[in-house]
Amino acid sequence: MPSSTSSSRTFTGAGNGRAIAVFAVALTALAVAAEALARTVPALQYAHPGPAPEQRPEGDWYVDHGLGVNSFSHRVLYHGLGSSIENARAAEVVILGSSKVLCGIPYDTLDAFAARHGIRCFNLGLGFGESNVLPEAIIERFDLRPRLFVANADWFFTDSPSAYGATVLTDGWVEDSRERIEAQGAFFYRQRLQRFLPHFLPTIPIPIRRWGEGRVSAFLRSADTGSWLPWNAEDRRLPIDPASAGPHLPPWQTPIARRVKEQLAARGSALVLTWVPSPFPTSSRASARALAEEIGVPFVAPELEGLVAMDELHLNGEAAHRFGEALLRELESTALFRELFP
Amino acid sequence: MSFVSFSFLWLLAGTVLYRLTLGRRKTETGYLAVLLGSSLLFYLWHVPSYVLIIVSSICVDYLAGLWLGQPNRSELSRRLVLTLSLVVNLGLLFVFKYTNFFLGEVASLAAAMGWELSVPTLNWVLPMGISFYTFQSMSYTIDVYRRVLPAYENLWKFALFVSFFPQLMAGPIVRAKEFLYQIDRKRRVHARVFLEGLYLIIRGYFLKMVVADNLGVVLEDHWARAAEEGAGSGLAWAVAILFGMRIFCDFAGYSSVARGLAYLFGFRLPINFNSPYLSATFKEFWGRWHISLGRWLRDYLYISLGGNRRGEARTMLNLFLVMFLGGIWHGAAMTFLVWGVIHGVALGVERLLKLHERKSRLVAVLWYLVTQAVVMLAWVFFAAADNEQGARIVGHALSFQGLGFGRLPLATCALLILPPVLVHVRTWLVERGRLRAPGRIEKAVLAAVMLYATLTAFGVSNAFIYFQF
Repeated sequence: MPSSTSSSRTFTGAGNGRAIAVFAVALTALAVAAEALARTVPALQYAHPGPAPEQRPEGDWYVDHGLGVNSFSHRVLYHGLGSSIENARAAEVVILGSSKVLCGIPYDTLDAFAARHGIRCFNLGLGFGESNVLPEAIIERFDLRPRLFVANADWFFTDSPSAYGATVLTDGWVEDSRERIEAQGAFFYRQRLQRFLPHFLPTIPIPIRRWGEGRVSAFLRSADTGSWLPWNAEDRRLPIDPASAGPHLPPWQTPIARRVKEQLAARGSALVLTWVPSPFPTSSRASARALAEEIGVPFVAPELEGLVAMDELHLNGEAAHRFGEALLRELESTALFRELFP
Repeated sequence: MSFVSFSFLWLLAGTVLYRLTLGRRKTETGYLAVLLGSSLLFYLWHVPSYVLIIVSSICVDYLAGLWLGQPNRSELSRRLVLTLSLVVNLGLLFVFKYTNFFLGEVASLAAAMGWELSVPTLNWVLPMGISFYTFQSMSYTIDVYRRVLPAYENLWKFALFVSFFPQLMAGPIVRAKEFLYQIDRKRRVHARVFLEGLYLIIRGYFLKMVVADNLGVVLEDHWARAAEEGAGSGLAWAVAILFGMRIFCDFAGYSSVARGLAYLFGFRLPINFNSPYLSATFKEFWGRWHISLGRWLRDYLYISLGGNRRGEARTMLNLFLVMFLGGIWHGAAMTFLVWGVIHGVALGVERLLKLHERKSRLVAVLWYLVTQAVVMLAWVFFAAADNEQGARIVGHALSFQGLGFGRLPLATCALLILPPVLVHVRTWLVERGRLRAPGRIEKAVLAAVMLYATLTAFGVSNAFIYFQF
């Protein structure tokens, strides 16, 4: 038990100084040894959340999904953490939708498209099947005014946020402050420290379903373009049957889509609808096209054969590259795009 | 606010900075104001309006203390004031913690008697730490009533005693006589005390975030399997022991952080855990597990009921009642009640057979094994979704059929329970004089290892289990 008497001694005691030095040396030695292990031992290859720093693409990436992290970008975008929102504000093309659109347009495909036209793009898609409500709040809150919005029409215009999205939106000032501080801390930790601090726990072979039977996957998100980078994601290669139509979008979504279009137009932005395929479609391409026609906006959704998905909802990497490339090529061929970006 | 949050790191950094600069004597008015403000901010960070509950408790007990402390009050009026104070505190506890449970049980009873009774469900969040600070506050009024403590006249300092944030959420339950005198005592920043505080904080975070949280993930997946029909005895015992280790690391981890924080701020809090799984008897277990609660129940309930002064039968009844109420204190559910009853019966049986006294080595070893087995199986009810699930797991454990562990990741479990096992082994060796308590250099190395493990092997963070109480 430490002494409880008053004393004028400060931090300069020799014994204390030695203890602090031993602590610092031991911590540094551990960090160096563990990092060396994490980089050289194959069994520890998943110790870093996401690819090792030198394997990441250029740019500013943070962990969006991973162990204990689920759609962190809800908070990042709503609270304007890091440079994401500034980049979204600077973008001339902003993509809206759910995780389908995040997986459907790979980061390098979007980068190439932006470079071709000398413009900036930002993927504002949000996981958990997020609908129009939270993106609208973000657009309003940070005054986003791109020239063009591209929205995945697949159950997007519902006026019904996900449970997580609703929490983000309805927090009071204390909850909002609390979540903002937590999100800022987590953002710093996940974006900066975890590049250098491995996370060894996932390397322990615990067969837990929630962790994908031992598979440690992560989705990094670019603060520059909003794109996802799936890392070590399971790829079940589920075939997508173009003939599988999927249910029609209900008619009550039409007035919501029309209202969103008008609100975006009031900000000086045009709207284009798209539709990303999946093995078990939650809506039909035909109804998405019909919705676009009803509200009077262009519809771009290339029909491709032989696409496969990593799971029930999301295109795998190879299919995403084919689809994303075709989608953006089709987009740039529309009259509206040529008019906006001559 | 949780200790495992970035908000808390900011609050801690600000308060420690104030202590190191403008609060170096610890008694400065500004420093005490910062401590009180930090404590209230810590509390309202959970649900802002609930700060009114703790403020009510503070005001009522402060005024009751002033009244009870005056020398010329009649015994009747003193009793009335004490009763009023207890009614307010226990009333707050009952309203916020037990109303739904009580209404649900009334409805169940009515249904059993053939009446259909529709009872409302109150949909509110349990105020964090209410069981802890109401008990702490009540200890003050009872001590003043018993005239073992003078009334405290400074409202703000009394408020700091009740709301001191290191132990606000989950104890230790500090007595007024252990804390109030510390507020006015100068305590300069002392490097050794400060480093000891940091060591305890790192140790606590390690036990919580690395061991308890990761064991929680394993248990989440295997707990229900242990209750399934045909589950083996091996798996049932394993989940019981794993939960025993988890709750120890969770709760002892919190207490360690709390004590470490108190050191940083110039205060000392009592030890709350002392390697409880070394306990050779149930009596000893309650001297090593949640020590501050055990002492509270002994001094304010057991002794008030007559303790062991009214014959053997009454003593056993008192033990049973104390543990029964101790079980209910933990939560408004039948599972906690069963957990308390098991401990109450075990203490009674132990006393009846005089097994808490000196005995032969063989009997001592056997009773140690029985004690620990019962403690672990009682944890099953503590953690179970309901008593039916708890009974199924305990039934499987006692069937001694199927000694396999199912798909339990044994290597991972062994790795995770190694730290608490080592804590106990070390205590055992130190208590027998075979090992010295760790010195500064050893603690420095341990702190480095535990800090690095906390940063790189933390589990999916959960609130501390005891926050719900």
